[in-house]
Amino acid sequence: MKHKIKLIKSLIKIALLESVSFRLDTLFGILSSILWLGIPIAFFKVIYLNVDTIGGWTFQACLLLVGVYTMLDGFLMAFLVKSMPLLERDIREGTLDSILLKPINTKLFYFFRSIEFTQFINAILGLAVIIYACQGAAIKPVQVLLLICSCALGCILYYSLWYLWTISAFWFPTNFGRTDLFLSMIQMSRYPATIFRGLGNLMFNVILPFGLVACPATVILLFPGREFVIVPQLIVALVFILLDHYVWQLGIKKYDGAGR
Amino acid sequence: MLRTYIAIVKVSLKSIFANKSSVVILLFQALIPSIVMFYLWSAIVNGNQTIGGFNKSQLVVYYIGVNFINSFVWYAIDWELNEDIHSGELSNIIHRPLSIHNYYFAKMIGDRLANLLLLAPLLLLGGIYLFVNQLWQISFLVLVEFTISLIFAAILWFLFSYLVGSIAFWFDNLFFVLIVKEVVVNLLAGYYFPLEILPKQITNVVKSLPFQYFSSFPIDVLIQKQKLSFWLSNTIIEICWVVLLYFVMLLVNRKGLQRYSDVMG
Repeated sequence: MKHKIKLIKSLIKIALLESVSFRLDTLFGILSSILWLGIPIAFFKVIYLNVDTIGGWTFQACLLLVGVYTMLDGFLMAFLVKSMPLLERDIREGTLDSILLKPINTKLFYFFRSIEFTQFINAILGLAVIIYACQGAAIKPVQVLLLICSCALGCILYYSLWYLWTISAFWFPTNFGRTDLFLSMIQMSRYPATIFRGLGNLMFNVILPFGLVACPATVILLFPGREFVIVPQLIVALVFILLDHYVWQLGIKKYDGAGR
Repeated sequence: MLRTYIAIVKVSLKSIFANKSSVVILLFQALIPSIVMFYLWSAIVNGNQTIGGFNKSQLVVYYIGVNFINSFVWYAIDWELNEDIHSGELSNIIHRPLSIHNYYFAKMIGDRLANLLLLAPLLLLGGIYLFVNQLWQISFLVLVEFTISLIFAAILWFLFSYLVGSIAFWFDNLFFVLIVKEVVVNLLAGYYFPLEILPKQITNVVKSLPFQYFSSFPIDVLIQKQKLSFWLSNTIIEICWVVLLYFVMLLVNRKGLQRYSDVMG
């Protein structure tokens, strides 16, 4: 354990040095954080100039949803936005061997491999929006506790979806990066899950559970008495943890089998 | 010389089809955002309600159209140029008897043609569905206007994207610069929502910028039944932007290559 912590510290140090080496990019990283939060808020603001609710959600509810999503997104983007493309490249180009041979858990290595510190600003801004959107609401301590649990489960789902998408390169390698598609899909987590009906509900709230990343936490805060939404989130998160592990093991076997 | 560029187009096109996984992912990339937007706008707009002059079916067509244009026009030339400059791959292109921007333009055409071929069956089916259910009617003239707008959109996009990518001649890492560019362009081009939804003053400002020609203008031509004079005046402005950006690109290219030579020795 001591060895792992030492290694993680070293990886964080390298990532920090990499982050501040490029000043223009760091500046734009901060700018991108502000835009990343500002654009969905502007989007909903413009929509709510024309309508009163979206799938039963008011502007305040959507604002809170955007806040929760941005907080989770900022936190995980910091760890994954550069690491996942690296993992995909290593799988595709056969350079994963050098990582597999290292005396460290491969998942852990990629998680801390390349941290983008500017993304944490996103997470802080997201938290600020949550606090702003909750003004005037009577929130009980139990709701806050469940919110934290729900956010943790949302993080697991976010990570799992991106991780599974990336390691699918074991079977379906492409000649271009696949991060773009994930980034455009994860954005649907900032829309109310109730917009998906019928087949869409099954597709985007169960099979690809983007609707379970940030929505349950928002529901817990805004609608007292509907805390049970955490139950399906917990079940799906557990399934995805197992799926992650299983698919990774299969992928490693396939990787060896390919003789790369 | 033309044969060389045609060969580049063919290579670029074939490289997409060479990998079946790439084909599937490209299809997902085009389909999933359209499906999500369909659900979102179905929840927002009810019955005969309109937003920014768009009713529900027009908004659905708008998003399908925007994603189609995205697939056909929005080639990530800036990301590619950024990578080629920093990896030194650009040296291989410089040493060939080719113009760099023509090389990248030929690559873009090949890549976009591949996308178009992939999406053609889906677009055809979608078009037939909309047409048969009388959700959307289109005249031959509008189709011609749209096609011309689309071609100019691709050229303008290339020039703009090439210019942004050229910043890599001067700076080492552009990851977030390019991310910010994408977000801003998506917003100003009408990818997130129709520009007409914005308050009038903001719409006027946004519409005076070249970004609307990347997707908002072609799709407006297709679904909003604009007058021929409107299309013509906008197309002339678009051509002026193309000419301006072309000369800026030549200048930036020359300065950038001088700097690149300095770095590479």
